[in-house]
Amino acid sequence: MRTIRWILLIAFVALAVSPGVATKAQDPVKAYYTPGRFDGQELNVVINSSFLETSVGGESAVEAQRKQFETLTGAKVHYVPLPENEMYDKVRLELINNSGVYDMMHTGAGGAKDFGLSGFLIPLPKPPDLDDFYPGDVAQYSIGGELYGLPMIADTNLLYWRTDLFKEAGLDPQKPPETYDQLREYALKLTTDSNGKHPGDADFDANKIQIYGLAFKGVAGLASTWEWYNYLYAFGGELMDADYNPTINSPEAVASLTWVVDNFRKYKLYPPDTPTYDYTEFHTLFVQGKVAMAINWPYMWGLAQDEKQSKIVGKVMVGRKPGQKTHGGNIGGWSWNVFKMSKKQALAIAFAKWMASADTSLLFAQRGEGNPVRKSVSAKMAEKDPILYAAIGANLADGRGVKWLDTGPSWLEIEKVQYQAIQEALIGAKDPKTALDDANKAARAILDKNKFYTELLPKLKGQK
Amino acid sequence: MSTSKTTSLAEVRSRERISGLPDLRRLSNASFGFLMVLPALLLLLAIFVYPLAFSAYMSFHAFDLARPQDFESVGLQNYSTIIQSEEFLRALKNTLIYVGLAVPVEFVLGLILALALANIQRGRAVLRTLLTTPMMLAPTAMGLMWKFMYNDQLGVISHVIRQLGINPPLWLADPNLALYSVVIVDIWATTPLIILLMLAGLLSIPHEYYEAAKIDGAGLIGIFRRITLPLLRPVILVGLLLRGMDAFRVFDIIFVMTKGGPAMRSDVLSFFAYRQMFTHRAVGDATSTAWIMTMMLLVAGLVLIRLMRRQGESQ
Repeated sequence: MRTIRWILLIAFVALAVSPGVATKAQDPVKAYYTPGRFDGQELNVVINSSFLETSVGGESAVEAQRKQFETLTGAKVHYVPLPENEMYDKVRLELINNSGVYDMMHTGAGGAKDFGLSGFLIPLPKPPDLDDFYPGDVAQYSIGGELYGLPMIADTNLLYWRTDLFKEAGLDPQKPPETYDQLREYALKLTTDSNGKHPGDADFDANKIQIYGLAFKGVAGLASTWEWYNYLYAFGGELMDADYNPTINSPEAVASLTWVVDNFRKYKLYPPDTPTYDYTEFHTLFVQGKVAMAINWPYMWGLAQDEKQSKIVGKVMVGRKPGQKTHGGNIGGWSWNVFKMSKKQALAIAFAKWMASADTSLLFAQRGEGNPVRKSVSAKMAEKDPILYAAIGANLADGRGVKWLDTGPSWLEIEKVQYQAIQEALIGAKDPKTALDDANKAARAILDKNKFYTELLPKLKGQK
Repeated sequence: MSTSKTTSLAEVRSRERISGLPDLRRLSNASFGFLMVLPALLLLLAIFVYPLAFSAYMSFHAFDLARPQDFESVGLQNYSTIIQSEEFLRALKNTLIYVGLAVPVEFVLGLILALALANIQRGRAVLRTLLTTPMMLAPTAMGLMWKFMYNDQLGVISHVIRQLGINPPLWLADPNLALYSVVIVDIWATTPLIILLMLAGLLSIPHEYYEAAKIDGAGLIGIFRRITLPLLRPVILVGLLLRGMDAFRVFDIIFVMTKGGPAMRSDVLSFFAYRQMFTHRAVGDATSTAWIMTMMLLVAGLVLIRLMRRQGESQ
């Protein structure tokens, strides 16, 4: 009798445990993203306030997912919404003071490396479905093989073009330019003055251009550098070499900037006040029908289809950016990061995982709040909007991060010398080579001043 | 205990011995007044004096937000580095051009419009409200509005100029013009303040002076030179002080309209200081720039105040 009882007990225990074991063994992905119970605990999460607004209307994806997380875990998640241009410095001050006020935040493309290299973040457990994320995104949030940001949304530039203007110019709207040389050729045919003449025609009047073939964000800001990086990579250039020496004055880099400057100064393919163009002017000009082709982030697709503000609804296509030596382009994105100073790291990690899950990524995409950072979600969205998501997927696959971000805290200072150089070249104050030579020298000086090579590079390479 | 209403000194001292606190009725008026303003004074010290003192302290230290562990005293090195930097000198030059152009033009325009308003009886209130509308706009909104108005393709200004058959200039894209384009916006935005100041000054001048001058056969220009202008001088000096300081510290419309571009050709001192802090993350450099600006303004302010005192004495 006693023996039978022991056998029954062992069998009962085995039965009780085996589903869990089997589940874990069978579904590690689900186990990774499903949070446990954190009853009564509270989490303070800094977020970019613009993510609380949605373009589709109704509740934002971040808000919807926060509520669901609270239901599942019993925890309370408090968002601290801050404008993007204020949040990094505000958070940095709290991190320096180790105040413990915030537990985690999401950051743009450079944030994980910036804060990670400064020692403010903890590495996060790698998702078992890491292959579902685009490799460029994973790389831009990693330091020395450790992941400091769980990817939230991806971003990449697309080529936009006007199908109606293509037809008028005798171009096939289904065959966008495939190289930057071709892009210029198309732009020359599409740039039209009030008399219907094009650059190179007799009587072409550059002061009376009605439609510009191309546009460029030439403002003194990140908009210009982050557009130029697409051209830099495509022309075979790099920001830094394998040893992290700046290489923005390489022949390939000079060629890419010369391409931009010649489009502006020689061929008159860009509007004449291009050095003032930020995102707003750029996309306004495009949706008002003044520009035939453009390279910009996916958000402009929604604007172009909005009847309330667009004059080109139904007349736009998007696709893969041209290549030159490569099809490379830069990517952006956002990731979730957990602070070392947090006293609720377990809860914060659970929330970061939850917000990086496939379901959350799909919700972001469905509500038009961010592009899929996962290949599986891109594939699902491609069924809904094949044009946009095919373009996003193709460009994300080509894309890679901006290597300046690897320099952590030096990044913004280097971007400043970079966009200065672009502006100097655009206004003709310096030729592209001189502008980039000076910028390269200044970038190196910044890295030396911030002890990048002696202190941060070993961390980046995973050396302790 | 005394039953009379006056309290004897012995009773006061007795109360003090019991409670351990001084009787407030023993305090002089000055001491009592000081005690009354002490809470406000402490608040002022906390929100004004302490941050000033702390920023001065930081200006003598090297402190990089990206490397907070490297905090060290550097004496006057921050000041010396900033003053010798090309960027600072260019920003200083642009700021002086900005102040030198904007303030006099605002004053001349403001005075002319105030003189016109002062001589209008009917509808003065309505006209005054219309003329002062630009003051009601937030600087950021105003800057964005003008940025679009200046846009070559979409802006109304370029559109109107083209209709006249003239090629419009590239207001914000031309490196030689960008700063002056922003000055125009500043003049548009701030002339209303000068109008109000001058109008208040004009309306306070006794009418009898003008009547007496007319009786003596003085013409309009003579009246303006010998009565209006001298009596307006205190108001002008106060306006110069306020407007000069404001123009020297201009930041918002530069940030919104040009971000110091193209290629830093419209950079000004405030925006330079902003970049030290938020791009270079160099707190020492940012605070030393701010203190250099403060000292320049102090000197200019002291000169003007001296002029005002002399003006007051001569009157």
